[in-house]
Amino acid sequence: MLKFIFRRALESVGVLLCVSLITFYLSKAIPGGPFDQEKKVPEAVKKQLEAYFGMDEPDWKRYLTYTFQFPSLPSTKFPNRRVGEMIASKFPVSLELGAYALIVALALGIPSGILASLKPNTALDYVPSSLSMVGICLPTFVMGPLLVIIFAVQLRWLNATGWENPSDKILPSLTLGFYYAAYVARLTRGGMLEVLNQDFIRTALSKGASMVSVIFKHALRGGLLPVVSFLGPAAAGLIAGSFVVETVFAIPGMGQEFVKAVSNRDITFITGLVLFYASLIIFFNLLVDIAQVFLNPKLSFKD
Amino acid sequence: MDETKHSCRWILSMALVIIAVLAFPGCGPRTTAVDEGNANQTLYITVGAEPENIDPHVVSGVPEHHIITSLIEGLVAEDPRDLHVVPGVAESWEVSEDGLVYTFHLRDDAMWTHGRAVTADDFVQSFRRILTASLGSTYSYMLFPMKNAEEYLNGTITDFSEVGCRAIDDRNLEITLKEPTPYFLSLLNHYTWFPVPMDVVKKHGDPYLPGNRWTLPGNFSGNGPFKLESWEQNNKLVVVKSDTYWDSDTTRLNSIVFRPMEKSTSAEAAFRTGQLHNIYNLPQDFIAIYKRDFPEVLHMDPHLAVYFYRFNTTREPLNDPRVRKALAMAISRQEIVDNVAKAGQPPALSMVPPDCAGYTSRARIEENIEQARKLLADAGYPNGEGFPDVELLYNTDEGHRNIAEAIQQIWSRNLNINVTLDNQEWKVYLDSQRSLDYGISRAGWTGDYPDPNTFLDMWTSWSEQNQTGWSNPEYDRLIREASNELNPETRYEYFQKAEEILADEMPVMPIYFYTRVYALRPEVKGWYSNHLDHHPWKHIYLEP
Repeated sequence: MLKFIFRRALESVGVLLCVSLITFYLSKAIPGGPFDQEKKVPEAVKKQLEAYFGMDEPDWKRYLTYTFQFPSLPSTKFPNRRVGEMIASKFPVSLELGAYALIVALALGIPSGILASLKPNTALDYVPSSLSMVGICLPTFVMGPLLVIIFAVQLRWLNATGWENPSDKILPSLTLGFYYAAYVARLTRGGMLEVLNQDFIRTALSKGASMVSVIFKHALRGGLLPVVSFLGPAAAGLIAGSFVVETVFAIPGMGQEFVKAVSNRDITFITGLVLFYASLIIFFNLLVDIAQVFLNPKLSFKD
Repeated sequence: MDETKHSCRWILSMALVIIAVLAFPGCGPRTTAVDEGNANQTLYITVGAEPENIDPHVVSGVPEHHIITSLIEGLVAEDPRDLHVVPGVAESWEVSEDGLVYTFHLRDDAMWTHGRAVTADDFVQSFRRILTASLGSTYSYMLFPMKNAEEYLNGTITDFSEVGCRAIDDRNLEITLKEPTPYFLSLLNHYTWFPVPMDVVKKHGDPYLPGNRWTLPGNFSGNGPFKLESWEQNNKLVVVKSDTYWDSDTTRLNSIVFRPMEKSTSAEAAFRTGQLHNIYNLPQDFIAIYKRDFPEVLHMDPHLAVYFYRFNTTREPLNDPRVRKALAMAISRQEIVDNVAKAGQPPALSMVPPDCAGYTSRARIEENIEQARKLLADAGYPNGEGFPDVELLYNTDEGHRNIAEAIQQIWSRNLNINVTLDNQEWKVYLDSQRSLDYGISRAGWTGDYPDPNTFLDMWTSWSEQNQTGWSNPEYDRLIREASNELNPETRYEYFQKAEEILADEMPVMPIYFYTRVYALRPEVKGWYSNHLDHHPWKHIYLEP
């Protein structure tokens, strides 16, 4: 297993290098720079700013600086902050929101998926399945404001925006969680249906094992495999933050920065965010691959 | 069957738990942030986006203005009602006969929050800082009325003592101007003229580089009515009353919580549920609802800003002034404002908003479809025949699209010509406009100070903001004469003549003057409508 992890770590370095190169050239290719604004900045001033942020250096040097020193570089948009500390102050917020959303997604998604798979094509299946279809179709930018109107504006139970009190965390977590719960439910249902039709389940049932113990002892392990492989990238996406949920609820997380950094052409911050996010994805995919070996007896670390 | 019942019960209990969690904050009456703020004089306010910085020499935006004016005070300040200049750090001043030399007498009780008195040298060092090229201040040109300021920034002068500012002693400051600038005192209210404590700045990095960290909480020191308490990016910036401020008896708020709100619909929800005292920009769709249901919080203030289209005068067919005039004459601005923009904007028939520092433009665009058709025919396009395809560029935004579509339709109806719409992301759009890579382009301009000059000097041949390819020597001369003229009437006469040229050649087509549509809770007192949207914080208080 250590060897497996080591090999994957080596691969990741290659992936990160590619990602950083692509990011560098893409952000160079977009028209407009970080210092362009409505009132034209005098050329002399622009030159000074570009020099300060190393934008007058040859490409290879810029690339190396941006890629390897990004945590200590100032952001071009918020020059008194450093990229590293900006990520460090926002990531915990997104991580927390993502963790709650993940809990909501699993707590709602798995049970309703199991339920739907038990009596396929009956009301017990149709109701959760159509609900999860609604969840997938209702994007977060509709779900978020909808929850705000019901729980904040009409019922006055919760704040409409912010991330201060524990109760502020409910609506954003639900908004983000519902969306993923829908996927989890569908994947669980599919995975369970496949497993439940297999011979070993029938054997277990005919031996007199109760349905509950069959589900939890035998079926879930195989039935959840699709959910687990979905969870890798989903978890990375969740904890890296959601642009929509963070802007709708005015949450100081990392998700909205992805979009804003690009519109600001905040070149140092873009590089930092992309590399950080890419590392997260790689890390979570690795976790998933390990988890799958444990869950699926057909796999081993050798291949 | 039993098993299914079991899982049913399990799900049901889960649902109950979730409902209980949701309902928990519902127990008992809830005090909102606004209730709490009203009780202890804390203002919860949003000024739009997250501030880039609160260093007055580095920033260039409007949210930054609102925050910085609570923390730092310049030589003069503003009256909250009509914004006329009142004493700030300077308790009095004199102007020389020729209008070139200003002598400011600083009060002795103006203090930095780190405990030192504000001196004349603080101002000199601050001017030097913003005029140092390596700082990369994008707004340093605001200081160009000062003698040799531009030359120092460009490096043609390297000795700062040649620049027109001098500390006579700790309490007396002399500023010498390049030419008499009648609006000079109101210019001093712009944050670029504000002082910074150089001893503090130097402690936190190179004072002449943009990445300095003196503006972070804990490091910051100011001389304004409030001091910086905390600043969490994208969450909130909190300032509290400063007891060392010389006029702290006037300050009535205990603190102000500035919350960035990227989405105005979220700000609306926060306002309606008592999290904020204001909505900085009321979304267009809500204007009608607020008019009907909450008229007491709705504000529609005139704003010193104009919405207009630039014509690329280097391109066929827009290089012909007759075509540009025809386009400008053929639209009905009132119709656009009433049906599309919908925020009570006054239609703009000139570049300068009416009654701008007592100036109202004489030259006005005549909206006349017949005349427009005739001009178009004279230019060689009778009934729009043979009119080349022209692109109308705007930055991606629903509001701009609606206006562009309306104008496209009106031109097609009235002149039988076709323009194609093209939207670009903000920075791409700026780039296209700058490199004259457009046919017609949407733009907006907010006055930097209340004087017609701020709307007119941008069309001179040397202005970076021109971006139309148009120039006219007579226009250039008039604007130059105006800046040398001391007599306000003669000076405004130069502007009138310049505007006649503008109306005759029409490099730009004004459409409407902006209004600021926002909501403000009625308990916020000491807040007066004005066309610059300046609301000096020390005069504001809460009276529920």
